[in-house]
Amino acid sequence: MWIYEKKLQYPVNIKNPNPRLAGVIISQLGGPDGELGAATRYLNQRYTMPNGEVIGLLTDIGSEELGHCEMVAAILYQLTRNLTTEQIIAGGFDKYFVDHTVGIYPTSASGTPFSAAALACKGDPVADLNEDLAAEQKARVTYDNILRLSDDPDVNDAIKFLRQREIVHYQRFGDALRRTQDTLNQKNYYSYNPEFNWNKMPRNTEK
Amino acid sequence: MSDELHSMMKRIQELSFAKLETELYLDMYPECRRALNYHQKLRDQLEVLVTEFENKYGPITTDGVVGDGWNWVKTIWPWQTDVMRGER
Repeated sequence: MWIYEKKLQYPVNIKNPNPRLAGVIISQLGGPDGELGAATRYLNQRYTMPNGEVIGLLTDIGSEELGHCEMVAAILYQLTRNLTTEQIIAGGFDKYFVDHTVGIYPTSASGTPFSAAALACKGDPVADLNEDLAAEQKARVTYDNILRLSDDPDVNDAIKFLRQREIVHYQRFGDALRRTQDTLNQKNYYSYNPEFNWNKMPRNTEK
Repeated sequence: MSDELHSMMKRIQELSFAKLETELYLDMYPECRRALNYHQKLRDQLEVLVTEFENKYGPITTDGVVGDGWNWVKTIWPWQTDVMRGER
């Protein structure tokens, strides 16, 4: 169950519309390393994880990523206010506009609609936590690339916040991987999969 | 939109951010007494501030709707800064 809070995690206050930039930033909503993929990746992976700590972390980071979807959507909304036809065409936003007007549709910058193929749930904690570490770094690189393409300080302020969160999540997932490996067979992490051979795991959830 | 609304909201965002950071840390180190104490301090500060904000400016969650009407749908949504600036 979730509860909505009527506030952004970090303020987004963009004064100047910029359809070209919106067409790039949309990848962090619906692209392969975007926030929607992050939220669904973590929230789906958590169900079969072997310990309460990792389930808690995936729940809380996954929920934060939903808030990041809202922040990216707020950036897109504010970058596409009051556009003229000339601005839409000059900014290369016409191909998006013809299908979605200025509605917020999750797609990559190159036009591929959001796909569950962008996320992974292997059902093994070592595999999935390594996936999550890579996902955070890939999202960080995308934000780095956005910062290379943007010269609007209002946009960059929010993007820098989101970029920093990728780094913090990477640190926490590193802790989660180490914690997971500490509870497995130290001579062979791969001797069983605690998400499948769960009866071999020591119980650490209070009843 | 008043300056006080913005400064109160900013403070709520700051405290909520610190609280979330502590929660992610506590997920991995649930026995850490220092983090637990810090988390409790942030919860207490937020509770006071959120109640004050909701009474003055409107709900942050649906539980924060006060008074007679359903002002959940009357106050501004977080991305509508154009409305805040009076452009729409």
